[in-house]
Amino acid sequence: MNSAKVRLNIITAILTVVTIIHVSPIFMVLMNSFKANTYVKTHTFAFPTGDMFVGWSNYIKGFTFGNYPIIKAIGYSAVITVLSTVLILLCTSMAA
Amino acid sequence: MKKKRKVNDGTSVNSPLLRRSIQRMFFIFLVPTFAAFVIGFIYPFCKGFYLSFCSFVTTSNTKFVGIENYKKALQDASFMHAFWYTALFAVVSVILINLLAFLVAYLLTMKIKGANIFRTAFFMPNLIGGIVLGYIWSMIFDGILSRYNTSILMETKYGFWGLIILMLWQQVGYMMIIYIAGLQSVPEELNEAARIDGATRWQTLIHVTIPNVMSSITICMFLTLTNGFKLFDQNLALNGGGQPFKFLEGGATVKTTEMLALNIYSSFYGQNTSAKGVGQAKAVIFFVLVALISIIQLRATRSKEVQQ
Repeated sequence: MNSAKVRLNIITAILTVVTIIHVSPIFMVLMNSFKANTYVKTHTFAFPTGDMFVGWSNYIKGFTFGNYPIIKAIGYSAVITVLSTVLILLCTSMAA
Repeated sequence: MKKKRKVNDGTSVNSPLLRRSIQRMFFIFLVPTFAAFVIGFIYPFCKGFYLSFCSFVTTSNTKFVGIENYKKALQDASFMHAFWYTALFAVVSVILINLLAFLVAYLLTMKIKGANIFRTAFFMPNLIGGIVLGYIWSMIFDGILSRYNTSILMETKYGFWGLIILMLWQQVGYMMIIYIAGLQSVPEELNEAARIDGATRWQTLIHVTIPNVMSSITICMFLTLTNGFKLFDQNLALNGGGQPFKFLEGGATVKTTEMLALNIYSSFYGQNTSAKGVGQAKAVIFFVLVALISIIQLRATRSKEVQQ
């Protein structure tokens, strides 16, 4: 039936638009991670070009900043997750 | 070795040889889970309940004061404001999240190409943790609102609707998955019978589909209601700057975008060090409130479920 196909196509188009809007904040964070600090506040939604683009320096600063390296934090999170998953599986399957 | 099987229903757990050894290890199997439950939940809960009747600064140095803490908690202006604010937020978020998630799930079960890509894209924001989410949206909202020379920390209604949009973004994907599972379990014969009887799409939705998805609606309403009341991470990250203030007549200051959990947190770790007993009383009141509301909601929607 033609009208059913047309309706399905319209729904697909609407869903595509809504999905792109839904995912856009993640994309915006990605764009802002390449901008210099002051431009994040003033030109939040602009694509980083020319003066604003600072390459990988934000990422490098993030990894080496301060006394508590983020690698250690990621390591602790991984250990906690793995250990707690194993213990939960063990204990609850024993109790069931 | 002769094994006498009295009960033969195919499961190996029932064979007498195995059953006796399992029964001997019954307690050993249960002990780890039970110990974790007692240490992690029962002991802190009972101690907290006892501490809510004391006034203390450190937990080893308590002084029993009876219901004083509860009276002070109920008279605290910021607690009552946080309570109404949280209730309003929970109601609005339950309605909006469930409507949108059901709508998206209904659209996605209509045989569209690439439904899996849409499902993944809608679920992805749920994987981001609470605090990071607050910072992402605080950056976006400040970016938008700075065109109008305000900021999200300036007005209560910006903080409120900002938090609603944030929770919508995070929770719609999760509830959508539950609704999709519920919608796909509606038997196809019911839809065809309704179509043969000449029901319009809207009537099919109300009278055939929704009573069959009622169990999913129960779960989703319970989850969104309790999430809305217990919200803390996103509130701290988005609105936690301590603004906006409102000065009331008694000289008390009320942070107008603070929700219940954040209020309890700041009464524990705030400047007023003698308020820890009051904070504990607030926490007990909070627990009773959430438990009551969830029980009422579960009873009400469970009575409407249709058995297959």
